[in-house]
Amino acid sequence: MKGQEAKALSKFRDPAVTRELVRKVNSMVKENFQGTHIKLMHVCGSHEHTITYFGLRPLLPESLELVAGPGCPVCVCSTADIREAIEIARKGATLCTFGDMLRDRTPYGSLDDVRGAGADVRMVYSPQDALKIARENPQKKVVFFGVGFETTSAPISSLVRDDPPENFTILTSLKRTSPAVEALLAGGEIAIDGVIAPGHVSTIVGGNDWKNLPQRFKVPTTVSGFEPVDVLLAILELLEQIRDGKHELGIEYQRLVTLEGNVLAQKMLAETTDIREAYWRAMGNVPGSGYYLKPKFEQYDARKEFGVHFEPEPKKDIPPGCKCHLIVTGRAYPSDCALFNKKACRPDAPSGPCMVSGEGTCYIWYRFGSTPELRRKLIGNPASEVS
Amino acid sequence: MCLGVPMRIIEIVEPGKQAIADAQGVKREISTIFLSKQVKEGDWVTVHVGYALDVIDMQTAEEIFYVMGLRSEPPVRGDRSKGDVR
Repeated sequence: MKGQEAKALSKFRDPAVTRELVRKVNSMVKENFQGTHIKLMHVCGSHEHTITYFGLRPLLPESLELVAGPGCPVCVCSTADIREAIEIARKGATLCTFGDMLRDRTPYGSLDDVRGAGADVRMVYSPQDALKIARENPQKKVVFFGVGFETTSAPISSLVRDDPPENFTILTSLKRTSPAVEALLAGGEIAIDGVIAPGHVSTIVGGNDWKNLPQRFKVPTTVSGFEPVDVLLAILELLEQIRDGKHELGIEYQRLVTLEGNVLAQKMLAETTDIREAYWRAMGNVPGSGYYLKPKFEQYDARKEFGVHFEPEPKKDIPPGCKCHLIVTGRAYPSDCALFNKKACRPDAPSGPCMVSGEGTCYIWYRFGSTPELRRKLIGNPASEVS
Repeated sequence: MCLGVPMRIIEIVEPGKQAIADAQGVKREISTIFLSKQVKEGDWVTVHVGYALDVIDMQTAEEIFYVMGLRSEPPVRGDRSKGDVR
Protein backbone atom coordinates (compact mmCIF):
# COMPACT_ATOMS: atom_id res chain seq x y z
CA MET A 1 0.00 0.00 0.00
CA LYS A 2 2.83 2.37 0.90
CA GLY A 3 4.43 2.03 -2.52
CA GLN A 4 1.14 2.50 -4.34
CA GLU A 5 0.28 5.69 -2.48
CA ALA A 6 3.72 7.21 -2.82
CA LYS A 7 3.48 6.44 -6.55
CA ALA A 8 0.03 8.02 -6.73
CA LEU A 9 1.27 11.23 -5.10
CA SER A 10 4.33 11.34 -7.38
CA LYS A 11 1.98 11.76 -10.35
CA PHE A 12 1.55 15.35 -9.17
CA ARG A 13 5.12 16.06 -10.25
CA ASP A 14 5.18 13.81 -13.28
CA PRO A 15 7.27 15.49 -16.05
CA ALA A 16 4.94 14.40 -18.89
CA VAL A 17 1.82 15.70 -17.12
CA THR A 18 3.63 18.89 -16.15
CA ARG A 19 4.72 19.47 -19.76
CA GLU A 20 1.19 18.87 -21.02
CA LEU A 21 -0.26 21.34 -18.50
CA VAL A 22 2.42 23.93 -19.37
CA ARG A 23 1.41 23.51 -23.02
CA LYS A 24 -2.26 23.96 -22.14
CA VAL A 25 -1.60 27.14 -20.13
CA ASN A 26 0.50 28.59 -22.97
CA SER A 27 -2.12 27.84 -25.63
CA MET A 28 -4.91 29.10 -23.36
CA VAL A 29 -3.09 32.45 -23.03
CA LYS A 30 -2.23 32.57 -26.73
CA GLU A 31 -5.80 31.85 -27.82
CA ASN A 32 -7.69 33.94 -25.29
CA PHE A 33 -5.50 36.62 -23.77
CA GLN A 34 -3.49 38.16 -26.62
CA GLY A 35 -2.26 41.59 -25.56
CA THR A 36 -3.70 41.16 -22.06
CA HIS A 37 -1.59 41.12 -18.93
CA ILE A 38 -2.80 38.71 -16.25
CA LYS A 39 -1.61 38.82 -12.66
CA LEU A 40 -2.25 35.88 -10.34
CA MET A 41 -1.30 36.10 -6.68
CA HIS A 42 -0.51 33.20 -4.40
CA VAL A 43 -0.42 33.64 -0.63
CA CYS A 44 1.93 30.95 0.60
CA GLY A 45 5.69 30.57 0.85
CA SER A 46 5.27 26.92 -0.10
CA HIS A 47 3.59 27.95 -3.37
CA GLU A 48 6.48 30.30 -4.11
CA HIS A 49 8.79 27.38 -3.40
CA THR A 50 6.92 25.13 -5.86
CA ILE A 51 6.79 27.82 -8.55
CA THR A 52 10.47 28.72 -8.20
CA TYR A 53 11.99 25.35 -7.34
CA PHE A 54 10.31 23.67 -10.31
CA GLY A 55 11.05 26.68 -12.54
CA LEU A 56 7.42 27.24 -13.58
CA ARG A 57 7.61 31.02 -14.22
CA PRO A 58 9.96 30.85 -17.23
CA LEU A 59 7.83 28.05 -18.72
CA LEU A 60 4.75 30.27 -18.77
CA PRO A 61 3.99 33.26 -21.02
CA GLU A 62 5.53 36.53 -19.87
CA SER A 63 2.09 38.14 -19.95
CA LEU A 64 1.01 35.73 -17.20
CA GLU A 65 2.49 37.02 -13.98
CA LEU A 66 2.68 34.97 -10.77
CA VAL A 67 3.27 37.20 -7.76
CA ALA A 68 3.73 36.34 -4.10
CA GLY A 69 1.35 37.84 -1.57
CA PRO A 70 1.66 38.00 2.22
CA GLY A 71 2.17 34.25 2.66
CA CYS A 72 5.31 34.11 4.79
CA PRO A 73 4.54 34.32 8.52
CA VAL A 74 8.12 35.22 9.44
CA CYS A 75 8.08 38.07 6.92
CA VAL A 76 4.91 39.65 8.33
CA CYS A 77 5.76 39.17 12.02
CA SER A 78 6.16 42.68 13.42
CA THR A 79 9.30 44.18 14.87
CA ALA A 80 7.29 44.81 18.06
CA ASP A 81 6.46 41.09 18.49
CA ILE A 82 10.10 40.05 17.97
CA ARG A 83 11.24 42.81 20.32
CA GLU A 84 8.89 41.40 22.97
CA ALA A 85 10.39 37.92 22.49
CA ILE A 86 13.90 39.38 22.80
CA GLU A 87 12.92 41.21 25.97
CA ILE A 88 11.39 38.07 27.52
CA ALA A 89 14.54 36.07 26.71
CA ARG A 90 16.65 38.83 28.28
CA LYS A 91 14.56 38.58 31.44
CA GLY A 92 15.84 35.03 31.91
CA ALA A 93 13.04 32.90 30.43
CA THR A 94 13.67 29.86 28.26
CA LEU A 95 12.28 31.10 24.97
CA CYS A 96 11.32 28.41 22.45
CA THR A 97 10.32 29.16 18.87
CA PHE A 98 10.53 27.98 15.26
CA GLY A 99 14.01 28.16 13.73
CA ASP A 100 13.38 30.99 11.29
CA MET A 101 12.34 33.34 14.07
CA LEU A 102 15.85 33.28 15.55
CA ARG A 103 17.31 35.09 12.54
CA ASP A 104 14.47 37.56 11.89
CA ARG A 105 16.24 40.87 12.41
CA THR A 106 14.96 44.12 13.92
CA PRO A 107 16.70 47.37 14.80
CA TYR A 108 16.67 45.92 18.34
CA GLY A 109 18.63 42.84 17.27
CA SER A 110 17.47 39.28 16.80
CA LEU A 111 16.78 36.28 19.02
CA ASP A 112 20.04 34.83 17.68
CA ASP A 113 21.85 37.90 19.07
CA VAL A 114 20.45 37.46 22.58
CA ARG A 115 21.20 33.74 22.42
CA GLY A 116 24.79 34.61 21.55
CA ALA A 117 24.82 36.92 24.57
CA GLY A 118 23.84 34.02 26.83
CA ALA A 119 20.03 33.97 26.82
CA ASP A 120 18.30 30.57 26.75
CA VAL A 121 16.70 30.66 23.29
CA ARG A 122 15.81 27.29 21.81
CA MET A 123 14.68 26.20 18.39
CA VAL A 124 11.81 23.69 18.36
CA TYR A 125 9.92 21.91 15.59
CA SER A 126 6.59 21.63 17.39
CA PRO A 127 4.76 23.61 20.08
CA GLN A 128 4.54 20.25 21.87
CA ASP A 129 8.34 20.24 22.14
CA ALA A 130 8.16 23.54 24.06
CA LEU A 131 5.54 22.11 26.40
CA LYS A 132 7.78 19.11 27.03
CA ILE A 133 10.70 21.39 27.90
CA ALA A 134 8.45 23.21 30.41
CA ARG A 135 7.33 19.95 32.02
CA GLU A 136 10.89 18.67 32.29
CA ASN A 137 12.21 21.95 33.73
CA PRO A 138 9.71 23.09 36.36
CA GLN A 139 12.27 25.48 37.85
CA LYS A 140 12.43 27.48 34.59
CA LYS A 141 9.92 29.85 33.06
CA VAL A 142 9.38 28.49 29.56
CA VAL A 143 7.80 30.63 26.84
CA PHE A 144 6.72 29.50 23.39
CA PHE A 145 6.94 32.32 20.84
CA GLY A 146 4.13 31.15 18.56
CA VAL A 147 4.28 32.72 15.12
CA GLY A 148 2.22 31.61 12.18
CA PHE A 149 -0.98 31.45 10.22
CA GLU A 150 -4.01 29.21 10.76
CA THR A 151 -2.03 25.99 10.33
CA THR A 152 0.11 26.78 13.35
CA SER A 153 -2.52 28.81 15.23
CA ALA A 154 -4.75 25.79 15.89
CA PRO A 155 -1.93 23.63 17.34
CA ILE A 156 -0.56 26.54 19.39
CA SER A 157 -3.95 27.53 20.80
CA SER A 158 -4.59 23.88 21.72
CA LEU A 159 -1.65 24.02 24.17
CA VAL A 160 -3.80 25.85 26.73
CA ARG A 161 -6.15 22.85 26.71
CA ASP A 162 -3.24 20.43 27.15
CA ASP A 163 -2.93 20.92 30.92
CA PRO A 164 0.20 23.08 30.66
CA PRO A 165 2.34 23.48 33.79
CA GLU A 166 2.43 26.79 35.70
CA ASN A 167 5.87 27.67 34.31
CA PHE A 168 4.61 27.69 30.70
CA THR A 169 3.29 30.71 28.77
CA ILE A 170 2.80 31.63 25.13
CA LEU A 171 3.80 34.80 23.25
CA THR A 172 1.33 34.82 20.37
CA SER A 173 1.77 36.34 16.93
CA LEU A 174 -0.94 34.40 15.11
CA LYS A 175 -2.61 35.59 11.95
CA ARG A 176 -5.43 34.81 9.51
CA THR A 177 -4.48 34.98 5.85
CA SER A 178 -7.72 35.69 3.97
CA PRO A 179 -8.32 39.08 5.71
CA ALA A 180 -4.83 40.18 4.58
CA VAL A 181 -5.61 39.45 0.93
CA GLU A 182 -8.95 41.19 1.30
CA ALA A 183 -7.16 44.21 2.80
CA LEU A 184 -4.75 44.27 -0.16
CA LEU A 185 -7.63 44.22 -2.62
CA ALA A 186 -9.64 46.79 -0.65
CA GLY A 187 -6.59 49.05 -0.47
CA GLY A 188 -6.46 49.18 -4.26
CA GLU A 189 -2.67 49.30 -4.36
CA ILE A 190 -2.49 46.17 -6.46
CA ALA A 191 -4.84 44.78 -9.11
CA ILE A 192 -5.10 41.00 -9.09
CA ASP A 193 -6.91 38.91 -11.70
CA GLY A 194 -6.96 35.70 -9.67
CA VAL A 195 -5.85 34.25 -6.36
CA ILE A 196 -4.16 30.90 -5.79
CA ALA A 197 -5.28 30.28 -2.22
CA PRO A 198 -3.04 28.39 0.21
CA GLY A 199 -3.83 24.69 0.45
CA HIS A 200 -2.67 23.91 3.95
CA VAL A 201 -4.19 27.02 5.55
CA SER A 202 -7.42 25.96 3.83
CA THR A 203 -7.16 22.49 5.37
CA ILE A 204 -7.97 24.30 8.62
CA VAL A 205 -10.26 27.16 7.59
CA GLY A 206 -11.90 25.42 4.61
CA GLY A 207 -12.38 26.76 1.12
CA ASN A 208 -15.30 28.82 2.45
CA ASP A 209 -12.90 31.18 4.25
CA TRP A 210 -11.91 32.53 0.80
CA LYS A 211 -15.42 33.12 -0.56
CA ASN A 212 -15.23 36.90 0.00
CA LEU A 213 -12.64 37.15 -2.77
CA PRO A 214 -14.92 35.90 -5.58
CA GLN A 215 -18.15 37.16 -4.03
CA ARG A 216 -17.24 40.63 -2.74
CA PHE A 217 -14.11 41.45 -4.73
CA LYS A 218 -15.10 39.54 -7.91
CA VAL A 219 -11.69 37.87 -8.04
CA PRO A 220 -11.56 34.21 -9.17
CA THR A 221 -9.98 32.10 -6.44
CA THR A 222 -8.75 28.52 -6.37
CA VAL A 223 -7.31 26.61 -3.43
CA SER A 224 -4.24 24.79 -4.66
CA GLY A 225 -1.91 22.04 -3.52
CA PHE A 226 1.87 22.23 -3.60
CA GLU A 227 3.08 19.98 -6.37
CA PRO A 228 3.81 21.54 -9.79
CA VAL A 229 0.79 19.78 -11.29
CA ASP A 230 -1.40 21.23 -8.52
CA VAL A 231 -0.26 24.79 -9.19
CA LEU A 232 -0.60 24.42 -12.98
CA LEU A 233 -4.11 22.98 -12.61
CA ALA A 234 -5.05 25.93 -10.37
CA ILE A 235 -3.63 28.39 -12.92
CA LEU A 236 -5.63 26.71 -15.71
CA GLU A 237 -8.81 26.83 -13.63
CA LEU A 238 -8.30 30.53 -12.89
CA LEU A 239 -7.58 31.30 -16.57
CA GLU A 240 -10.78 29.50 -17.57
CA GLN A 241 -12.75 31.60 -15.10
CA ILE A 242 -11.13 34.84 -16.30
CA ARG A 243 -11.79 33.86 -19.94
CA ASP A 244 -15.44 33.12 -19.17
CA GLY A 245 -15.91 36.26 -17.07
CA LYS A 246 -16.62 34.21 -13.95
CA HIS A 247 -15.51 34.77 -10.38
CA GLU A 248 -15.97 31.64 -8.36
CA LEU A 249 -14.31 29.65 -5.64
CA GLY A 250 -12.57 26.47 -6.78
CA ILE A 251 -10.72 23.79 -4.85
CA GLU A 252 -8.00 22.07 -6.82
CA TYR A 253 -6.53 20.47 -3.68
CA GLN A 254 -9.49 18.20 -3.09
CA ARG A 255 -7.43 15.34 -1.74
CA LEU A 256 -7.00 17.41 1.41
CA VAL A 257 -9.24 20.48 1.40
CA THR A 258 -13.01 20.67 1.82
CA LEU A 259 -15.30 23.70 1.80
CA GLU A 260 -15.92 23.44 5.54
CA GLY A 261 -12.32 22.72 6.58
CA ASN A 262 -11.13 21.02 9.77
CA VAL A 263 -14.05 21.52 12.12
CA LEU A 264 -12.19 20.24 15.20
CA ALA A 265 -9.35 22.71 14.66
CA GLN A 266 -11.84 25.55 14.08
CA LYS A 267 -13.65 24.59 17.28
CA MET A 268 -10.37 24.63 19.20
CA LEU A 269 -9.54 28.10 17.82
CA ALA A 270 -13.04 29.39 18.67
CA GLU A 271 -12.83 28.05 22.22
CA THR A 272 -9.38 29.38 22.99
CA THR A 273 -8.95 32.57 20.96
CA ASP A 274 -10.67 35.82 20.03
CA ILE A 275 -10.29 37.35 16.59
CA ARG A 276 -9.25 40.99 16.45
CA GLU A 277 -7.24 43.42 14.34
CA ALA A 278 -3.57 42.47 13.97
CA TYR A 279 -0.52 44.38 12.85
CA TRP A 280 1.32 42.96 9.84
CA ARG A 281 4.89 43.94 9.07
CA ALA A 282 4.87 45.72 5.71
CA MET A 283 1.09 46.05 5.70
CA GLY A 284 0.01 47.72 8.94
CA ASN A 285 -3.20 46.94 10.82
CA VAL A 286 -5.52 44.43 9.18
CA PRO A 287 -9.04 44.10 10.64
CA GLY A 288 -10.03 40.67 11.91
CA SER A 289 -6.69 39.10 11.06
CA GLY A 290 -5.30 38.13 14.48
CA TYR A 291 -5.90 35.29 16.91
CA TYR A 292 -5.47 36.24 20.59
CA LEU A 293 -5.86 33.98 23.64
CA LYS A 294 -9.21 34.55 25.35
CA PRO A 295 -9.07 36.45 28.68
CA LYS A 296 -9.91 33.24 30.57
CA PHE A 297 -6.54 31.84 29.45
CA GLU A 298 -4.57 34.94 30.44
CA GLN A 299 -2.43 32.94 32.86
CA TYR A 300 -0.76 31.52 29.74
CA ASP A 301 -0.19 34.94 28.17
CA ALA A 302 3.56 35.65 28.19
CA ARG A 303 2.98 39.39 27.66
CA LYS A 304 1.08 39.55 30.95
CA GLU A 305 3.44 37.17 32.78
CA PHE A 306 6.50 39.27 31.92
CA GLY A 307 4.83 42.70 31.69
CA VAL A 308 6.10 43.19 28.15
CA HIS A 309 4.32 45.17 25.46
CA PHE A 310 5.70 47.24 22.58
CA GLU A 311 3.68 49.24 20.08
CA PRO A 312 4.30 48.58 16.36
CA GLU A 313 6.81 50.93 14.74
CA PRO A 314 6.14 50.79 10.99
CA LYS A 315 9.23 52.84 10.18
CA LYS A 316 11.45 50.25 11.87
CA ASP A 317 9.90 47.21 10.18
CA ILE A 318 11.88 47.40 6.97
CA PRO A 319 15.59 48.35 6.78
CA PRO A 320 16.63 51.29 4.53
CA GLY A 321 16.85 50.27 0.88
CA CYS A 322 15.02 46.96 1.44
CA LYS A 323 11.92 46.25 -0.65
CA CYS A 324 10.40 43.51 1.50
CA HIS A 325 7.29 45.63 2.07
CA LEU A 326 6.69 45.63 -1.70
CA ILE A 327 7.79 42.02 -2.27
CA VAL A 328 5.51 40.63 0.45
CA THR A 329 2.51 42.42 -1.07
CA GLY A 330 3.13 41.32 -4.66
CA ARG A 331 4.25 44.75 -5.85
CA ALA A 332 7.88 43.86 -6.57
CA TYR A 333 10.07 40.85 -7.30
CA PRO A 334 13.29 40.18 -5.36
CA SER A 335 15.25 41.06 -8.50
CA ASP A 336 13.74 44.57 -8.32
CA CYS A 337 15.56 45.20 -5.03
CA ALA A 338 19.04 46.72 -5.14
CA LEU A 339 20.07 44.75 -2.04
CA PHE A 340 18.99 41.32 -3.33
CA ASN A 341 21.85 38.84 -3.68
CA LYS A 342 24.39 41.53 -2.81
CA LYS A 343 26.66 41.42 0.20
CA ALA A 344 24.01 43.45 2.03
CA CYS A 345 21.34 40.75 1.70
CA ARG A 346 21.98 37.05 1.41
CA PRO A 347 20.66 34.17 3.55
CA ASP A 348 23.80 34.12 5.71
CA ALA A 349 23.40 37.86 6.39
CA PRO A 350 19.82 38.83 5.51
CA SER A 351 18.77 42.45 5.41
CA GLY A 352 14.99 42.15 5.33
CA PRO A 353 12.65 39.40 6.54
CA CYS A 354 11.99 37.97 3.04
CA MET A 355 15.61 36.73 2.94
CA VAL A 356 15.40 35.14 6.41
CA SER A 357 12.81 32.44 6.13
CA GLY A 358 12.64 29.38 3.92
CA GLU A 359 9.17 30.68 3.08
CA GLY A 360 10.41 34.16 2.17
CA THR A 361 10.34 35.04 -1.53
CA CYS A 362 13.87 36.50 -1.54
CA TYR A 363 15.33 33.43 0.19
CA ILE A 364 13.59 31.12 -2.29
CA TRP A 365 14.74 33.16 -5.30
CA TYR A 366 18.30 33.29 -3.93
CA ARG A 367 18.36 29.57 -3.22
CA PHE A 368 16.91 28.37 -6.52
CA GLY A 369 18.01 31.22 -8.77
CA SER A 370 14.83 31.38 -10.70
CA THR A 371 14.61 34.87 -12.10
CA PRO A 372 13.15 34.73 -15.62
CA GLU A 373 16.27 36.50 -16.91
CA LEU A 374 18.59 33.92 -15.39
CA ARG A 375 16.57 31.01 -16.73
CA ARG A 376 16.57 32.53 -20.19
CA LYS A 377 20.36 32.78 -20.09
CA LEU A 378 20.68 29.19 -18.90
CA ILE A 379 18.09 27.34 -20.94
CA GLY A 380 16.81 29.76 -23.55
CA ASN A 381 13.16 30.68 -23.58
CA PRO A 382 11.20 27.48 -23.05
CA ALA A 383 7.90 29.34 -23.10
CA SER A 384 8.32 29.95 -26.84
CA GLU A 385 9.10 26.28 -27.44
CA VAL A 386 5.99 24.92 -25.81
CA SER A 387 3.48 27.50 -26.99
CA MET B 1 5.59 27.02 9.02
CA CYS B 2 2.68 26.24 6.76
CA LEU B 3 4.65 23.42 5.23
CA GLY B 4 2.61 20.25 5.40
CA VAL B 5 4.59 17.04 5.44
CA PRO B 6 2.82 13.88 4.26
CA MET B 7 3.53 11.21 6.87
CA ARG B 8 2.39 7.62 7.26
CA ILE B 9 1.03 6.45 10.62
CA ILE B 10 3.15 3.56 11.86
CA GLU B 11 1.97 3.25 15.47
CA ILE B 12 -0.96 4.48 17.54
CA VAL B 13 0.31 5.71 20.92
CA GLU B 14 -3.00 6.92 22.34
CA PRO B 15 -6.11 6.67 20.14
CA GLY B 16 -7.44 10.12 19.20
CA LYS B 17 -4.42 11.84 20.75
CA GLN B 18 -0.93 10.69 19.82
CA ALA B 19 0.66 8.50 17.15
CA ILE B 20 4.08 7.79 15.69
CA ALA B 21 4.41 8.75 12.04
CA ASP B 22 7.09 8.29 9.41
CA ALA B 23 8.24 10.57 6.60
CA GLN B 24 10.90 8.95 4.43
CA GLY B 25 12.48 7.24 7.41
CA VAL B 26 12.15 10.15 9.84
CA LYS B 27 9.90 9.05 12.69
CA ARG B 28 8.36 11.29 15.32
CA GLU B 29 5.44 11.41 17.68
CA ILE B 30 2.59 13.53 16.39
CA SER B 31 -0.69 14.78 17.81
CA THR B 32 -3.87 13.46 16.20
CA ILE B 33 -6.35 15.59 18.19
CA PHE B 34 -7.54 17.44 15.08
CA LEU B 35 -8.52 14.34 13.11
CA SER B 36 -12.26 13.68 13.05
CA LYS B 37 -11.80 9.94 12.55
CA GLN B 38 -9.60 7.43 14.29
CA VAL B 39 -6.56 6.85 12.14
CA LYS B 40 -4.95 3.48 11.84
CA GLU B 41 -1.52 2.23 10.90
CA GLY B 42 -0.87 2.80 7.21
CA ASP B 43 -3.04 5.96 6.89
CA TRP B 44 -1.40 8.98 5.28
CA VAL B 45 -1.78 12.30 7.06
CA THR B 46 -0.54 15.84 6.49
CA VAL B 47 1.50 17.00 9.46
CA HIS B 48 2.16 20.61 10.48
CA VAL B 49 4.43 21.47 13.41
CA GLY B 50 3.84 18.03 14.90
CA TYR B 51 0.05 17.95 14.45
CA ALA B 52 -1.81 15.83 11.91
CA LEU B 53 -4.33 18.17 10.31
CA ASP B 54 -6.07 15.86 7.87
CA VAL B 55 -6.03 12.43 6.33
CA ILE B 56 -4.91 12.52 2.72
CA ASP B 57 -7.84 11.43 0.58
CA MET B 58 -6.17 9.11 -1.92
CA GLN B 59 -9.56 8.34 -3.48
CA THR B 60 -9.93 11.96 -4.60
CA ALA B 61 -6.34 12.00 -5.80
CA GLU B 62 -7.10 8.95 -7.94
CA GLU B 63 -10.25 10.63 -9.30
CA ILE B 64 -8.20 13.64 -10.37
CA PHE B 65 -5.80 11.30 -12.16
CA TYR B 66 -8.80 9.77 -13.95
CA VAL B 67 -10.06 13.19 -15.04
CA MET B 68 -6.54 14.02 -16.25
CA GLY B 69 -6.38 10.82 -18.26
CA LEU B 70 -3.72 9.27 -16.05
CA ARG B 71 -6.00 6.46 -14.99
CA SER B 72 -8.10 4.45 -17.44
CA GLU B 73 -10.91 3.39 -15.06
CA PRO B 74 -12.77 5.70 -12.67
CA PRO B 75 -11.98 4.71 -9.08
CA VAL B 76 -14.82 3.26 -6.95
CA ARG B 77 -16.03 6.01 -4.66
CA GLY B 78 -15.94 5.42 -0.90
CA ASP B 79 -17.96 7.49 1.54
CA ARG B 80 -15.62 10.00 3.16
CA SER B 81 -18.24 11.11 5.69
CA LYS B 82 -18.10 7.59 7.12
CA GLY B 83 -14.35 7.81 7.42
CA ASP B 84 -13.71 5.73 4.31
CA VAL B 85 -10.84 7.57 2.68
CA ARG B 86 -9.65 4.81 0.42
